[in-house]
Amino acid sequence: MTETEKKSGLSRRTVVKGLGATLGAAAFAKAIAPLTTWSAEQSVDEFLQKHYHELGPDEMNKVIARLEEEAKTDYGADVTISDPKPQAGVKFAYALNLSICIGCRRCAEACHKENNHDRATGNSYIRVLEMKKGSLDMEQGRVDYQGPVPKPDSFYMPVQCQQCDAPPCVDVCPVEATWKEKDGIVAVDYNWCIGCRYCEAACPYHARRFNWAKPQIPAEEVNPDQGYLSNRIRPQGVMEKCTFCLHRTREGKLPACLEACPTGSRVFGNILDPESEIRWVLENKRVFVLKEELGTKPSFYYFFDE
Amino acid sequence: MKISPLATVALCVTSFAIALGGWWIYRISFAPFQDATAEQETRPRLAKEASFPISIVGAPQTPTVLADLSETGEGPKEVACATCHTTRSPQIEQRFADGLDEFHQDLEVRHGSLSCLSCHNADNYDTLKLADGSPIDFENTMQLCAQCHGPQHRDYQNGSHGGMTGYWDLSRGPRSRNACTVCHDAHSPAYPQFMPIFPPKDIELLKELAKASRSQPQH
Repeated sequence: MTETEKKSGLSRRTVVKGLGATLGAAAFAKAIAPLTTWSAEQSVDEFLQKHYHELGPDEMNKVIARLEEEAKTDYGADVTISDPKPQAGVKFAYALNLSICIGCRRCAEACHKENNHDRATGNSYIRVLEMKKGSLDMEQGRVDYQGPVPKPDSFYMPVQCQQCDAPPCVDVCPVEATWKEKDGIVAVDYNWCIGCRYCEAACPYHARRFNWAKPQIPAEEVNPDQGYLSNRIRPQGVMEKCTFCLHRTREGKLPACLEACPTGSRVFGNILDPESEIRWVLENKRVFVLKEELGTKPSFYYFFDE
Repeated sequence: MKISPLATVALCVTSFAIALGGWWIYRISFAPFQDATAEQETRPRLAKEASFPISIVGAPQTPTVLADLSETGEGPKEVACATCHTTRSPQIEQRFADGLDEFHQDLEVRHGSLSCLSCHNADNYDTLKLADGSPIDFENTMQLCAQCHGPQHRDYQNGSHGGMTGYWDLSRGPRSRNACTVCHDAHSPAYPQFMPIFPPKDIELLKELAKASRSQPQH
């Protein structure tokens, strides 16, 4: 053995070591390759940004200032980002009258505009299902129906985030980038989300969307009234979802989809207020929730007129 | 039967573990719901404490008719209903526009078995009348409609028919609501069919766009 070593001057051990080191170095180089595009894609501040719950007021102001500046550079739009907090004594709930929904999809379009969705893909948090009368099987619903509506043999069921009280999407998030707020809204920290899409898979209502690409919106179409947890323009590669327009509803306003509804099939309000419209519906109509058997406890109710 | 102390201890430990597991499952199942509703340090915001008004928009005005007054040398002019109707005797039986030889001929009437004078007031055509014969202004038609459409009126009064804009929280802002005739033509009230807008786009398009944005040169 010692003789061979001496002859070649290069031991087997040395060769294996060298090979290992080369492979290791190559793997490391490959692994850090995405960092070469760092400056183009994201700032150091964004990379080091803390979780929503850990941001102090000063830090939040800095983050918001940075995001507003980014909206200016990337979209040419002057936007105002707010971070309205849940109000004590308010828990939001929604109800939808399937007897008078006509399937016009105005709610989906209003959502698209209000929430700064990508224009090319026509994204919206609302899917309107055309269902045959006599069945409530969501899986049989069609979203690609064509007019004129309403058809006599069909009813129309808009589906969006049900703001579950036991949300499966929150359970599966590996980084706690999504959580339930005190007023019932399931929120997402777009800067903490890693884009694994577990929540999208876990949601039984297909209510979550993934930003495959950076949203493209003309400057004049950007909705400048934005919320940190709701309709600010999302980065590429993160999840998003309906927030009951919390930048509007936490200011006391009605959600955009409700205002757009031409028949008034949508009812929104504070479920803790016995005098509210939503409570009247729950007490006087035969309401049901979607996929009740899954135990998700939705805050979104459906009903038919008798 | 005698139980060894070891078995007793094992039984206790197992029971404790099961109880702990049960509590944990209960906690993860119900905690989100309790968290959301538990913290009621302050009482709920109540609608009745509201200060802002709910206004109803789009209520009809007292109508006028474009009349050809060329015989009098004045040309076409908007005139009040009473201008002609005071000179004519009311036709109690009239139900459709078909039999009319002047005015309203192209009016489409599809409203159950109502006749014109079910709602129009023969004593004063610038008002309408309720079922008990008392006159009511055009601005207050909701009361007229509610005579037959009680369930819809009840739903409307409770915010689940007819739509609204503005504020859910009336302590922070006003709300605007539609009158019946904004959506329903009083003479032909069935809501018409129309083409849906904003069709969904194919998921394949989303994927293509993502691919395109990936292949774009970094700037």
